[in-house]
Amino acid sequence: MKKRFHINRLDHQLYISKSVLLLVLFILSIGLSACGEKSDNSPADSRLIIVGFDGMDPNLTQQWMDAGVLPNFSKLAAQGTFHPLATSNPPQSPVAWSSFATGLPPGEHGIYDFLRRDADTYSPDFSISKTIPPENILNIFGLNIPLDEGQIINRRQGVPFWSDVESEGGRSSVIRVPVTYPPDPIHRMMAGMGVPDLLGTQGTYTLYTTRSLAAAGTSSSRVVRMRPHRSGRIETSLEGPTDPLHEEHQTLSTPMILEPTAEGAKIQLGGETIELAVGEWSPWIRVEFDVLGPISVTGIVRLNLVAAYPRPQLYVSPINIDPEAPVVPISSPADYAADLAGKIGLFHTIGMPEETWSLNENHISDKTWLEMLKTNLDEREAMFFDAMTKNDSEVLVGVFVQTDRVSHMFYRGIDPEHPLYPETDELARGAIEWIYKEADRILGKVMAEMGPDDRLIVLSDHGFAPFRWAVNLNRWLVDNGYLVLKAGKTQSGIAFSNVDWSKSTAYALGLNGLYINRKGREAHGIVEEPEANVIKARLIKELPRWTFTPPQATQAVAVEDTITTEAELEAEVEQEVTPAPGQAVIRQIFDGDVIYAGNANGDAPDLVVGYEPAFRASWQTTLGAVPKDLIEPNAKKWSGDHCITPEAVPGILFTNFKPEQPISQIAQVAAYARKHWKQNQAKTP
Amino acid sequence: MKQVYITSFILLAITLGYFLVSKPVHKEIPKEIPKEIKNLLIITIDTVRADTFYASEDNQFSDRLSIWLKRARVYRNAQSVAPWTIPSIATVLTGYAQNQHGAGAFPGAIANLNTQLPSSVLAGVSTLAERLGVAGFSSNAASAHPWFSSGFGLERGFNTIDARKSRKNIDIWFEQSIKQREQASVQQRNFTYLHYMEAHGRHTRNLEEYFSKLSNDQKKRGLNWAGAICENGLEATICQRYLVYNQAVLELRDSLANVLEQLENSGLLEQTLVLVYSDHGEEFHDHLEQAQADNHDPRGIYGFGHGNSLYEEQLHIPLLIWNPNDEKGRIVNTPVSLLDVAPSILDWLGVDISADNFPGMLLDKAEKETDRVFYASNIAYGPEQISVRDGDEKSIWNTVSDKSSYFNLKNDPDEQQPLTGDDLVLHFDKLTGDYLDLASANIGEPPEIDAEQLERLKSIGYLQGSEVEATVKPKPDPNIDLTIEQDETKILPPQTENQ
Ligand SMILES: [Zn+2]
Repeated sequence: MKKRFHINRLDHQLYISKSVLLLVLFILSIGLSACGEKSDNSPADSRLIIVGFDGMDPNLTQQWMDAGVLPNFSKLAAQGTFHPLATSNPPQSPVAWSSFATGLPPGEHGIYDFLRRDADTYSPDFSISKTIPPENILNIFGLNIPLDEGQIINRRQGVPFWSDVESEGGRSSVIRVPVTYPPDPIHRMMAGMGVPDLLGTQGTYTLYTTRSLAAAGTSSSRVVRMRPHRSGRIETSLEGPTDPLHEEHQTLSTPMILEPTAEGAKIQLGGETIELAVGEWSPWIRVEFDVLGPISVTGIVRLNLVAAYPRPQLYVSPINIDPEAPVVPISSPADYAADLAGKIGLFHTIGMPEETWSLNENHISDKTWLEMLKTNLDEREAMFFDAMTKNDSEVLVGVFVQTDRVSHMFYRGIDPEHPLYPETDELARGAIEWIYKEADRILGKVMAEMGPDDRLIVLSDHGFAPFRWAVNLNRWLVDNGYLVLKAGKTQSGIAFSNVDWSKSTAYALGLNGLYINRKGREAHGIVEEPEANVIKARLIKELPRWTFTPPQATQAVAVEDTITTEAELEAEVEQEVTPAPGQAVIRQIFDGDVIYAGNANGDAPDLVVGYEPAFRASWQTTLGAVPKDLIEPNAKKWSGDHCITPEAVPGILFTNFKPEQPISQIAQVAAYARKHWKQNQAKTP
Repeated sequence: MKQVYITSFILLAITLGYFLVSKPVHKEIPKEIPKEIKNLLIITIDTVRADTFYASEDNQFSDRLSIWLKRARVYRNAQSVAPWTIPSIATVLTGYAQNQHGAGAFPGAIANLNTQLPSSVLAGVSTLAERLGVAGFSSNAASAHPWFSSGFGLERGFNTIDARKSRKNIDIWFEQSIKQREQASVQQRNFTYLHYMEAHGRHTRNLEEYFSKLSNDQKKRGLNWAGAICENGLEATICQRYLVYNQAVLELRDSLANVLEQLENSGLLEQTLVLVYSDHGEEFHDHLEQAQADNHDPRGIYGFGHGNSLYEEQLHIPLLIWNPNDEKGRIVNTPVSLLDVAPSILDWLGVDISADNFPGMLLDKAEKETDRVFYASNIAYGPEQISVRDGDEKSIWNTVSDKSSYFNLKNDPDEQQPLTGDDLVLHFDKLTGDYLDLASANIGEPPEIDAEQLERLKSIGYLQGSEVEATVKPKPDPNIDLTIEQDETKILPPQTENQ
């Protein structure tokens, strides 16, 4: 009855989870409720409040401010400042928010992309955090018993400004800022992007279907085929983490039963019975995976009945770490997550809870996804205002990433040139404006809640651009002789499965990274130091010359009958032609040695690709694959992006004051925050 | 502490071991020792639907084969696994389902044998001839079907393959081969494979010629058996096609009797396992409206021929076995599958199959097993379909339109009254999923075929699309992909003659 399937996960995640769990159990069993070391709850004044709206774009913001639908942003701009904020290179959230936190350029904080490459294997790896398994494991009777705790480290280097403020006597509350996992030991922190799910991944959902697996599309998450009885009763199970204690690493699972109802389905999971109508989200359900004797691991999931009987499809969210019994620390102090859950109810704990991939794969509908996103937004709002109304921190930072996620998934609704635009309905066309209005509503609440001496900064890490064309950069590298495939192969799977490294000089991996196959650095490197510079120089020159003619562009250049004079005709043709034939794919290639001086942890790419708007690295490129075509239309719902040349996608900056020195770059916010604290301290004796 | 555990483990192991060793051996009553079967003869009568083949018996008309049928195991409800030759014969010759042997598939969801080469038997899948070769057999084939010698893997293991066009030439070849074996000093075990094509081509490519040759008696007999096919009278092309087809099937029956008589006269029948089957049937507008709707085909091209649907007219096939160890013949009404053929043959010929994991069953067992699920798939023209038969119930799923039809074959043997019901959807989705889960991730690469082979395939109606020619080169580069990009807007019908 149990199905086994293979999923990608951090192999050793559960060693740690297990040992931490044992520790938590120990602490609980001796009745020692871990209380915060800093119990200073005295009110704070002259606070610095920083609210981030990930991916909020200056042009869209201006457009909707002009239209009068963002009254609070307009009000704030009138009070203080509003201007574009230069983003990091590349303009990716982990890179930009790391610069925001530390005030350092990527070359010094060491986060260069969502994905880093493992030079030993040429395979992609998550760049934000790293899990180190325990060194000592006692292997006995088929059980692996960890003798020491493993470690999870944030790969980001440098000290965030909120830690600096704390070490100088201040208190900081930092809520869901990206790249804050594991949490910093400060007054109050809820970790953001980087927190894994219970499987140790960045978000593995499960789609249950009675149809064939091939029909469901198995490119990303888990698809489980259910074998129903004729009556409709289905006995299946939800697979959890692997058993940390067993050498064989059996997958732990918990039973789940589905039965048809008049409206939808009745589902039994985790000791609860829920009835769902089609499209309806369940409340949080706690699931328990038994490890050994009294030991179990718990997580929380939400279900959505995607399709009704007789062809039911059930979506199960990634198994979030239970905030009331976290297997790994997700907050500071450690019991803050549980306290908060007691107050606002269970919430998404995973670093990237907006399950964009499920929408991209059409496993759930636009409406269902937006409902989930609204839940996320509500949770973040509740967390942020809980911290804000406590009023016990001199620095309060909260980031709302929902603006970014909605922009990614619904750019197709505001970009008439996107392949999916004709299919978008009113909901899809209005989604981005809706989330901007939500941001405005939250901003209004923040402004109402502020004290007279509080200073407010509202910012985003980058803006947005259309994503119409997926660029297979590795295909270009193959076609131009930089990347060589094994004899007889014309394509390659992910992690460069068919690449002949003994002949290859350069490869692309991650959203913007380009690497030289360097001797002594890469496992099968062949390029010596002087030659590497020649290859880099060639790529810097050649790639921006790459032009692309969209297939329909020739038809788009239609000359209207109304044009009579030659001059008019020329002008018209000129205008029509500009974006069409032979448009550049890449605006600029940046030299890693120049922009990443320092290369803090050795992860820095040799070159950074600055795509033109409308283009972006294909998903295959990010994972090191070489598909057939150079450029493919992006027919996915993930239709907006920002991983392009940074000058095209600046973020926003609003302040309720006139900064003494202009804040024009995201890395300058940290310096302002540090200075603000110093000045504050000087004021108060 | 550790010591204690280990000691108890050892004790436990010893105790368990004792029980295992001392378990009393169940003594079987010795059966009569069966005759050793030395040889195998497989005869494929291409494109013969079961009802036409058995029409003689059902209408109490006896011919030379009728007498032989009384001595045979007649599987009246045998099921093919596909509606056309390559996937079906590959199953007979390997024992694996289409989604395991990999042959006869097309790259896209819409098949078009007019313009695309199908896949071959996967490397690593052994054929009967290969396995029998290991057991000391020589294997020889005489086939009128060009697929058989075009490199799709069906030829694997044969010592000789003789391409013959007509039934008569195959019979001459067979007569000679029997003589050679009679004269040989050492009697090597032998596997002979014969493949007749008479029922495949006459009524499609040479209709006028063969229809004009039919005697009035022949027409009359055909009309008696045609049923609804000839409801519009002799003038209807489809009726004429059926009458020509019916006559070809009768001639094939006669040929089979010839072969069996020769075997008996030479004394070889006593030591030869003889198996006759058809790889698939033939449709004569039996489901015209459905075919037109499924394929957006107002001309009704898809309702005729084979390779384009999974109705019983294309899947229900004759299967006959003469086993020297059978005292007398019998009629088996339990459904069996062409999947059962290869494992049964190997078992009867004394080849150990205990290590194999065949999806079929030994026929001796299968004829008593009523609770089985039968699958068919691999359309040659049009959207891919998968059919599932469970007891009397059957579903046909069109993978492109994602529509399913459900029938009860007991109440509705002609599959004219589709059923509905959530329980059917749930049940058959589950079974279809099981079949898809079995699928091999790979399908065999299409072979490189030369111009001569292409001409032969074209001569019997395949690969007539011009695109295929472009893929055929005198000496193809192994790196060149022979498959052609799917052009879904341009699906040519199986036969394009005047209808
Ligand atoms: Zn983003």
